[in-house]
Amino acid sequence: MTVGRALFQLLVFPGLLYAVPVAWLMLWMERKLTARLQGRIGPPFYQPFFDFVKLLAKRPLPRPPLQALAMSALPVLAVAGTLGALALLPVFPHSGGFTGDLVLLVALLEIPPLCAVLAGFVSRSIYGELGATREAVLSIAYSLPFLAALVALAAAANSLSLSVISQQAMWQVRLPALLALALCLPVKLRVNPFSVANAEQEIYAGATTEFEGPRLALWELAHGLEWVALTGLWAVLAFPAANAAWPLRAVVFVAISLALVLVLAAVAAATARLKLAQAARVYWLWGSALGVLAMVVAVVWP
Amino acid sequence: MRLIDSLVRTSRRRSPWLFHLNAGSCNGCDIELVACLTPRYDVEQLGIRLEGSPRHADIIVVSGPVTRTTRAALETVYAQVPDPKVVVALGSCPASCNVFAGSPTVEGPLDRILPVDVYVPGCPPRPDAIIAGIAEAIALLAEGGHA
Amino acid sequence: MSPVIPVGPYHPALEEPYKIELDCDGEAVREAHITVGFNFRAIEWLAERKNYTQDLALVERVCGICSNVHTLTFSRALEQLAGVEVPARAQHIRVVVHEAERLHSHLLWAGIAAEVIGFQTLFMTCFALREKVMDLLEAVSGNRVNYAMNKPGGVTRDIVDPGMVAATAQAIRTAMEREIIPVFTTDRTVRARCAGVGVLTRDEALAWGALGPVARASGLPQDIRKAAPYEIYDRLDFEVPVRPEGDVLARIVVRALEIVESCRIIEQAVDGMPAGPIDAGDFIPVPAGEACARIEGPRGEVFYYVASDGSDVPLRVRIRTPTFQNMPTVALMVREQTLADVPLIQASIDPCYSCTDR
Ligand code: SF4
Repeated sequence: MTVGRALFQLLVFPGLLYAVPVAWLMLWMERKLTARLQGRIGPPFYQPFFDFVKLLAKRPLPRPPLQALAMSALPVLAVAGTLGALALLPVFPHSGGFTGDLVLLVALLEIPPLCAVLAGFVSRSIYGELGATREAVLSIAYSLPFLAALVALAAAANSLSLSVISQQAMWQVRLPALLALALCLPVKLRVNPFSVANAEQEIYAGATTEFEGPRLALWELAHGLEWVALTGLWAVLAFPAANAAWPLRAVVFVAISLALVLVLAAVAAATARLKLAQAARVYWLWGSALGVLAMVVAVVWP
Repeated sequence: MRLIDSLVRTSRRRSPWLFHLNAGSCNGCDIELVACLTPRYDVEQLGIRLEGSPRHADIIVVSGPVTRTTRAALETVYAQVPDPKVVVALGSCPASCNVFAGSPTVEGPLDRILPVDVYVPGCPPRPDAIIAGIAEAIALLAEGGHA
Repeated sequence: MSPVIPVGPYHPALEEPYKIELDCDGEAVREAHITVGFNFRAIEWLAERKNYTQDLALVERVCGICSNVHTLTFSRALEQLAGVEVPARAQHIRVVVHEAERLHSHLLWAGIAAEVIGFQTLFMTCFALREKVMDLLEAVSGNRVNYAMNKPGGVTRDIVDPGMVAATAQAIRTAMEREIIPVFTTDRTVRARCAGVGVLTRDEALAWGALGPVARASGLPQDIRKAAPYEIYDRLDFEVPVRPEGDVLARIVVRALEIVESCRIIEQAVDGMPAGPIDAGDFIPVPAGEACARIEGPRGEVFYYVASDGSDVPLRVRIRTPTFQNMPTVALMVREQTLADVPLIQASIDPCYSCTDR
């Protein structure tokens, strides 16, 4: 992968220039669809953008220097990590990538939840800590199916390179793997029925309860970018056409991502929030079953 | 700079987040505020959100005549909301203590404790009136709230 | 993690300020301590210093959710003191408003319960339906909240369009049976959150003196409308739903069925409404003496004691509201439950702290 390509992917597509507006678009779509399903009109199109600007323009509250530093650095790190993960998505398989970028992607995707856990503890609020603990428990629960699905794909493709994985058909593995990944999306994005880590009626906003103004703005942005990255990952894996032309690939990538947002929002609107133990059980049971199924198929199916 | 200024002003106008604090109200005002969120009034159209944490808020909505036991919480919450911020007194209670005036456990009216920017009179005010009051608060917010 | 987790006094799940402190072990609750008094406005103290007419406006504002219940009970106590009979038409109107208030209160509660378990859409559905009740109340009384309908000796406003009231009640009943009850009773995420949670056994409910829907969801068939009928309840045909399970789901079901019953009561009350005066005329100040009145509010039995010395200011007004009785059961119910259940369990008694604190 040349430096120019890498920069393009990081800064333009599917990185910064594409991801930030789309992050806002997805946040809006989620809120709008929820509102429509509830018989409301919902927020206008530009809402997440103005939310972001408004938060940026608020004056931060005075805090002890070390805490202030940590509380600013963590959301920045979360944003950066997600952007890095986005840059690795092989929307155009021939555009490069390197062997082992799958491992890097997984690591980068883990950064925002990790930052959220730390944020909860750094902010020294009991609710922040509770949110952080829940985040941590959940990440253990969903990591198993999430990783199992990716490992199964890697094993079937016999490669740790994302672009190789995303090009081979292998539907027998891909189907259960995609299902397992789809199951992990709501919890990773903290939406219903798995919005346990930011359950407002129990623990306020969870880890971000104590964050204000610009720091909160960055969290909102990181959250939006997570939407783009995770739906994007799923979209890339769901469209393994090796020889499609690049405009088609780009369009399909965007279309699948956005469709996935709609599906997730609709499911969220139609469900109640499960409890921590119940949510974790779903992942241990169903998530892992799917992940293991994908792995078994990957190993026994030639 | 002018551009950024007007962008900030617009975004404050379009994205007011509320924190509601019940300072000993009878629930009448509170429930009408909740009604504003529901399908008939749906204030999310205006970008209004009810936030659980005061640190996320722009507008503090206070209902109730401020009882002795809620006064400290009121002051803490006020300090936790980052500037710029606006205080809305919801209903007759925070404005005048209403029927509770003269009670030994009531420390209101609200303007003895916090600077109040907007009064929404009524016992309780209708949701329409509440939305109008919030709109007034939004205009103040766009100009930077109270100093 | 810190062992004591404070919930409140200001918390997104609580409609009103009060505080539960939870001794926790991870997410499991060991012990709960409840602190109330944040809404203490010294209403009883004020009531002894204002005249009866002012007191009527004052007790209306004990609670904005069940305001009508307070004026009704207060008026009934005064009528008892003066030995005044309320005209039949006024009794029918009182029942209509009383039940409409139960409707809006229960729908409000159903919405809050949905909100507390994170089911935003159901919250919106309940509140959309509640707006219909608000329209009804507004058409009858002129106000959405704090109706000022009752006065000693009758009601302040007549129902001019009984047809509309009956039609609305019927529409609400249909919507309830079609849209809301099925979701609460069959949705899997709702069941997962509510079934078997926060159980209060029949014996516990009896021992702790639980009232209203909380008691009825624990298998105690107690309801003042049946036990000591007031106004026209002895002539109406309605059921009192009782469930034996004692969990949160049972409380939901009881209230949902009560909504359906309330609609039926309204239909009957409007149907049989006789012509005539709506007011027995002025009889204040009341003669010296003391009187008690109790009625079945949306949350349970509301009790008023009024003592008079014959002047226009009462000697003593004592108000006991149902949450005052039900609140201690929360500490019992949250024990050994998880932290995530606490907001739901405390909400399941439909607490009203402005009533409790007064
Ligand atoms: S203004 Fe009226 S409705 Fe509002 S809290 Fe006060 S008494 Fe209740």
